[in-house]
Amino acid sequence: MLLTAIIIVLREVLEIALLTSLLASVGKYIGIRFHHFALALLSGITFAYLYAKNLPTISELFDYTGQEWINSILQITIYVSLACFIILLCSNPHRMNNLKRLMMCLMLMPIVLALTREGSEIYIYIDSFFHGNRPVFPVVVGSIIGSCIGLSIGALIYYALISCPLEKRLTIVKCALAVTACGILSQAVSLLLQADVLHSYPALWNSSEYLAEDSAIGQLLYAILGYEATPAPQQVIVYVVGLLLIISGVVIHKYYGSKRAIDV
Amino acid sequence: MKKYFMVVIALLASSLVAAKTPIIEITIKDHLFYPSELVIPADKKVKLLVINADETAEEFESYELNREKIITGNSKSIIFIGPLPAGRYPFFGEFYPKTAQGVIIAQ
Repeated sequence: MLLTAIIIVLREVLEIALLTSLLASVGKYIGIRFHHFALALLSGITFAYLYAKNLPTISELFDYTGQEWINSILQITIYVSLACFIILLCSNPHRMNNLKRLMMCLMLMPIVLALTREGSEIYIYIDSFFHGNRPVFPVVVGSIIGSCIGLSIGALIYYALISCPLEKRLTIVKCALAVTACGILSQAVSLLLQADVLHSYPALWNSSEYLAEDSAIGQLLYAILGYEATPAPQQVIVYVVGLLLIISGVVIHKYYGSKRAIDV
Repeated sequence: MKKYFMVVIALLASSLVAAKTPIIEITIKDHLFYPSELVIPADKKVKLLVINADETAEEFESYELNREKIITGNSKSIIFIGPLPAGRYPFFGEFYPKTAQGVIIAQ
């Protein structure tokens, strides 16, 4: 029970911790302070609680596919926020100053939404033990250990990033956020396939022999890249299209940014 | 290039077409799946009706099927799976993985 709790909570916390550490590492550059992050985390926890409490009702919506609908909308919104954030992060420092409010929203929105989704799962898991006749203590201890490991990994990534020079850090963060965002978009497609909103086709490949999804590396790659051993064709298409959109956005933004600077 | 583009468009467009699918029922009781072995037709989509008869929530999960869904206590839910090539596809309850285990056999 203890080990199961550690694994479940670690998986969920790791996804939020990775995203938060990447975003927080460029927070100072944009002018976002600690209390903004604290507010986003607090909002995320509140929404997670509300979502978990209303999950029985939500699940029954749209012919019992409400959970997939809501989660995929959350995931798509996270992708859009991150994509816009990455593109605008390529602005020059002067323009960045004018975009401060927008950048703050684009940065904190994914944290709030990711925490809403992952946090609600943790709440439901722990809460179910309080209503059952199984021992609660190992679950609580396991959850604390899992959270601490996840948060430690997040802190490690954060401090490793802020020790890098700004230019290098921005490049790493943009690349890491781009693949994370596309992984999240791919997960949204997986949910729409599960709800039969999109028609299912056989998996494009099966790499479970080389890298099992439930292995430690598989889980880590799932959190970073959205790795799946047996992805549906639509997931791969959306991943590639999502990545191309971000790259195109960055190129266009840089082109018009430099053109405007020349015009001025 | 145009040909590939058309294939991608056709794939996404046909994705939006829903069809009638057979329903297969499975129950979670005392953190066990009943039946724990489900036989489904290969290469055909099925609608899995998961009934959670326990008071506590469970998360239906399968890496092989790419499926993951929380089924709250004393409730039911729907999960679409397939079309699957012939083979065995294990699934488990993430909250009680030691007891809640099963397999879908596509044949």
